[in-house]
Amino acid sequence: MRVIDRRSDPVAFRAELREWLGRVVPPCWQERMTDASDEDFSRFQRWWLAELDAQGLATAHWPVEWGGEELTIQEQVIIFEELARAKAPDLVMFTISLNHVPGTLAKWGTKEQIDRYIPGVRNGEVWCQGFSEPGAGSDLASLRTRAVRDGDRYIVNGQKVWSSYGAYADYYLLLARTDPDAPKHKGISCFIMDLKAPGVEVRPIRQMNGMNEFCEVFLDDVEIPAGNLIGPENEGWAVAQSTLSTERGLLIFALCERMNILFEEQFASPDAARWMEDDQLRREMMTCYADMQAVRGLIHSMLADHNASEFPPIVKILYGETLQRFSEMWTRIDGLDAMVERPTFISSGYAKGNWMVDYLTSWTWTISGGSNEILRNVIAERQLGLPREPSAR
Amino acid sequence: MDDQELIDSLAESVGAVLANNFSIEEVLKFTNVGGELDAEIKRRACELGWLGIAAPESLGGGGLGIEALVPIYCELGEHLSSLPFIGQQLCIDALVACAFEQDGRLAALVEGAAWGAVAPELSFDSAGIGRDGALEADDIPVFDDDHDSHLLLFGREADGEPVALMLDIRQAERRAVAFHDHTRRLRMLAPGGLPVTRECRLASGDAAIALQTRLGDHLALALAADSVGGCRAVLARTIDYLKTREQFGRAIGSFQALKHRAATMKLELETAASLLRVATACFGKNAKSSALASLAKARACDVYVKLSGEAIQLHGGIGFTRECPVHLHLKRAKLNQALCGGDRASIDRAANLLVGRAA
Repeated sequence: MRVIDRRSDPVAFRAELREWLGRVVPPCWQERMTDASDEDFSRFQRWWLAELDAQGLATAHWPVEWGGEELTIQEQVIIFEELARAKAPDLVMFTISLNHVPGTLAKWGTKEQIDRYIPGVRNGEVWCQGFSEPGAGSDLASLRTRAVRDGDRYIVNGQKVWSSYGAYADYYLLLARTDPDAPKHKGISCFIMDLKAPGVEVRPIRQMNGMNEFCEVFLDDVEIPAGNLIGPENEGWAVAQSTLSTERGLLIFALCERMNILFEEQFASPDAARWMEDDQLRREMMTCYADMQAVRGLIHSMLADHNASEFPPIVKILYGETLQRFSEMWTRIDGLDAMVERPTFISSGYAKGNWMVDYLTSWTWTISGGSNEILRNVIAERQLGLPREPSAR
Repeated sequence: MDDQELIDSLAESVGAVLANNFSIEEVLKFTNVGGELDAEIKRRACELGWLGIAAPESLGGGGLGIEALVPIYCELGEHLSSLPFIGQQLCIDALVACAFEQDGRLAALVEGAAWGAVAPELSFDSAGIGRDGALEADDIPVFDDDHDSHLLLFGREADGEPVALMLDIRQAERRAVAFHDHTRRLRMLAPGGLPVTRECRLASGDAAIALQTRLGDHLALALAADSVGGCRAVLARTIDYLKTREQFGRAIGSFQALKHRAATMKLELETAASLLRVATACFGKNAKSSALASLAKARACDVYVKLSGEAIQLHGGIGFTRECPVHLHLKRAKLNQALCGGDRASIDRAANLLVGRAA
């Protein structure tokens, strides 16, 4: 019997999950993954995907006809709470594969695309996202990578950037301009692209936190079969919106649960005196704790009510800023000791107690996936109804 | 030329040498790829007479005071320099303050034949002297590059009497420690066991306490100046980016929300710079001037951290890469903030001094 088969009884499901995680999560996987080679990291991620899949957990949120279980949000919450509690590895390498690809194809994919690509995801094929460009960040719609139709294929030229885990990826969710004469949102199409195709060059970017999971991708006359167009030609902007809207919610919930556990550990630690006996730190610590509980509350409301569409930008801003303040505060608690470089492992940007690295990594949350500046515009203009920037096009 | 003009032209010439030969782009290459940049800047500093600016004229020095050093600390911070200038100047200041003007060590430090390091905590609890006359101390992080010959350290005699020491550390064991700040060389020095001879003792009792206060203030001002310089660089780079980076068909700096953030950065920089000037002007006078030095240090480091963080955010993704030097500033800022016991210790020192309480 698989763990997922207990799902009908939430209490038994949670207990079974906890027992299984206690058994299967390697006790020192974090040490093993610290400074691991690309091969070790990739092998470990694949092993963990296979373990979760064998228990029906990896794709439990998928539709039944894709081999998923159509779990309710409440059931998924149980899974993420237990994963956080067990300090289990997170499937960072498969974030796009397991969430964004099915999210996009469910709404826009053809039957052929779904049959061709969805089973591969379960078997560990890695996808990454090719949206941003050096000249198109916050202003994503100004992207300039060109896809030109040539019979039954498209020829693509351009440069993409910030493709997370691009160095490990097999496939690419690509946005490219198919009509250069249309208004900028109307000339974009979305494609499935084989990252191993001729003309593709992937270069990891060395980051300030010592990692290099973000990549630049250079596209030089890359051929894409016309059948790999997702949705109608020139409707790529709408397709991308469904891709991006799968990004928040449960993923950020999982990170928040990990942060919550870190707090609980600090409260129980004999080391608590370090901040508890300093008036300023004690109060800062409590302010961070309150912020984090507020974010958790917002996420719960968001998960409970899918129509509460105003929450995602709020949650993303608050999580990133809370993480930044929290990790920064800890660099001050640890003082000079926090300034010593210690190796770390790749994760999806939750606090791990390597405070300076956590602090540096927190900018991935405040900059990427819609910078906090862009999200504040979204809140001001779309939620509060304030007028748009005077000459923003 | 009056003193102020002299000081201004000195700082300007230091800035020009750094900009021309030791630019941030060179520093970036040095931190990413390695090279001889740190040895080269030391050679140039000796050659150009920077080391003796505050030393007595009888030794070929400039005879100027802290007000001449602070603008140079600013320049070094602005260019993320690896030059271990602060330790050198604290050692020179200590020898001059203790009237060791005839001491060969002073001449060597002024010429750059010797290099001085300082234990950044400047606490009498950092070290003790055993009955056998050997030093008892934990390992100390120092800006040091293996060639340093002197360590300035505070400690206690076997009977508890405060003492200021300058130790010969050529034989001391040291190990490289990787700090996040790659722009400077920090090493863990193990001075424990070194013999403490008569000439190692610069001052004892009240004189040692007075020297500790003086050097504490000097170090605070030096780190404040390094940070203010860093703020200048980080703001200039950010403004440049806001002017040239275009999104939505216009320079991102034309969006009012970002313009206001840049203006706030400017306000914070000017506040920190002003506090630094005020504290520098009254250096060495009384408890209030010591308090101001500590407050200037705390504020400048906080502002440096904040401005570097803002700079990363305003640069967006490019600010997150190792190729963009802004992260070097953030890491240097965090280290500056952690030195001298950290942000809270500096502010508490000021409060205790102003209220007249023993720390």
